[in-house]
Amino acid sequence: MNKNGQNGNVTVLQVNNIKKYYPSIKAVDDISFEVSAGEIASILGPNGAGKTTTIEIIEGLRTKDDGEISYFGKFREVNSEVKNRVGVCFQENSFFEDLTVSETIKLYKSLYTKSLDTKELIEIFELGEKVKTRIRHLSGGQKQRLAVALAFVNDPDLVFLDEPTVGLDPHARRNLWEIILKFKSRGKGIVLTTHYMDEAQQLSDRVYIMDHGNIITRGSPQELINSSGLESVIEFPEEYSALFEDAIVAGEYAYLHTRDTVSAIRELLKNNVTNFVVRHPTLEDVFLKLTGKKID
Amino acid sequence: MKKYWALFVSLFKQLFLRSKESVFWLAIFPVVLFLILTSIFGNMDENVQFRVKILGQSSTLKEVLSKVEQMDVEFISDYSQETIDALKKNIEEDKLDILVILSENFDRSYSSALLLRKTLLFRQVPVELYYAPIRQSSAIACDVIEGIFNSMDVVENVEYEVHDLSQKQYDYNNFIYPGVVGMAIMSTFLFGFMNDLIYFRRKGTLKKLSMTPTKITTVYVTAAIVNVIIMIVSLIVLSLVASLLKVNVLSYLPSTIVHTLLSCVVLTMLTLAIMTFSNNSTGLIIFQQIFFQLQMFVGGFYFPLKTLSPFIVKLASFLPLTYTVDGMRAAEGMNSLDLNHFIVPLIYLAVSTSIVLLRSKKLGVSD
Repeated sequence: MNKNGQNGNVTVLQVNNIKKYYPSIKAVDDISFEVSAGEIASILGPNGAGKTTTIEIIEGLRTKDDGEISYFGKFREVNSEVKNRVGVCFQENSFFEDLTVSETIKLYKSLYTKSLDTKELIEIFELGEKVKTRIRHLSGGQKQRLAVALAFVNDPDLVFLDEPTVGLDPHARRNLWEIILKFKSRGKGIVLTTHYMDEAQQLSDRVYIMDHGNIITRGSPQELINSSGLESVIEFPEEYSALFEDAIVAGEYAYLHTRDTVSAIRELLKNNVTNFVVRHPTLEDVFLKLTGKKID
Repeated sequence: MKKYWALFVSLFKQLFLRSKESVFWLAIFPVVLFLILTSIFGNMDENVQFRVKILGQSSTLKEVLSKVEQMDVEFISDYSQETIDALKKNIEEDKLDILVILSENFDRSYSSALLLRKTLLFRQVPVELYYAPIRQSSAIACDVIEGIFNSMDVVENVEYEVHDLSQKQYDYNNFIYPGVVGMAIMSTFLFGFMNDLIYFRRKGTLKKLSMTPTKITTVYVTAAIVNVIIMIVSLIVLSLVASLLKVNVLSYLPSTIVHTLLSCVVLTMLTLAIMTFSNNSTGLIIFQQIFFQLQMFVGGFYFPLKTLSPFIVKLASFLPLTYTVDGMRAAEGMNSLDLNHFIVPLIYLAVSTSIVLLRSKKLGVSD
């Protein structure tokens, strides 16, 4: 087995051909990927694509029907050694609501054999003003920051972050991105599931796009954009989508991915459509092109 | 050890110290329940009719007693020993307040005594009174009967023989104390422990804890220990209040410790066993309610089982806490069941433990 990831770092997670079938659906169908130390791998996909099931199988919360998972190159199952080196932030987090922030951090610190310094953690996640506040009195954003802080409390080598910036304002989101990048630079392997395409594009070293239980494409954000063959994207009101055979409608807008930008603009102007935007393609456009769906 | 202590302290703060609901339901509620029950049932004698049975016939007494509205009097002629024993037992069981045994031909003997007093032929008329002075209604009934005899100017002519049939078991304050202890145990486990686990499971707290190296069973056991400590605090407060109301708390102490600890273990395992069958909170809440209502109303908590119908007694004999409460009452001779008080709870413990061991994976948070 390859012990090193693409950038020469140690592979902290290797997933080979895992499957999870339910009577009516193939929730996870033969998925393989790997995560190296110091790498952020993002899993993207529309609702029901199998992202959460995949992550929960890896976290040991669900059983798999087939396939193999290797943690840190030597463990085949989630035992206490693995748990000591893994951090998790779920999409929905629940704490003991009547404990304070510092009590909660101390509790989780005590459950692991190694941990980060409480003060450092509080400082990094900007929870200093709230250390003595009971969790039930925190705002949604503060709770979310605490949830992410707890994912790093044991100074883990591999971290799963499921929608870590949901509910945060744009400023707080960017702050959290910086924190995540800081931990990445410390050599942590991070698996990120997010529906914010800009987040995935900004943070990820590798992106895995899932649909119907499969990984339909993989690569760095730039690789995915380059390999998509998209030169430019034209956004215009959806009522004019009939003008182009391959326009994709998502909500109030239609999106045209094209190499012949000039001809497309001419066609729009010819039909008196002036409220359109031409821009470079993003990861979101790749996602839209591949799945035909826009993530809300 | 450090992590167990940290988990214990956190759960103790979460489930007790900082939970207003928990302080009410687990510490204040049993005391309030005890005070309500004793104030309703402990002094109810004051407003009831006095149940009087008079063995023998006396038209004089009949006429006098008919004028006392609160007296529900019945005259009986059967002087057989069986009848007398049955009537005495009725007093012991609080079905009768006073039994007056007149001599045969009381009226004639009484008239003779009146006529012949101060002569050598004078003979006092013997009258026996049986009552239970520990009960207010019985004591008052006796006072009234004595007052009537006094008003008939029979003091010199009638020879009283008063018999105290007081039995400990029908002092309601003493009787209800184990029942409220049973309620406190049930509240702790059905509405404390089980609800805590349902809540933590539903909200995802257990899922988060399961991702740490701590075993989820450690969390369950710690939560159970915290609830037992909460219950002990609750029982201490309850016992202090009960001792102020003259409940013989010290005499109950050994049986309270033994039966309470056994039922804690039984209910912990029963709760976990039930949780292996249902992941949805609705199912668990239905179980809680059925078990709670059945145990509370037919388990002999508030009234002596022996006064209930045979069907109810049979039903109660299948419930574990019936034995906890009845076992405690045995310390004061107030038990209704002559069965061993440990067998049924131990059967529950064995079956629940087997289920938990066989289905332990279902207690986790994974699929």
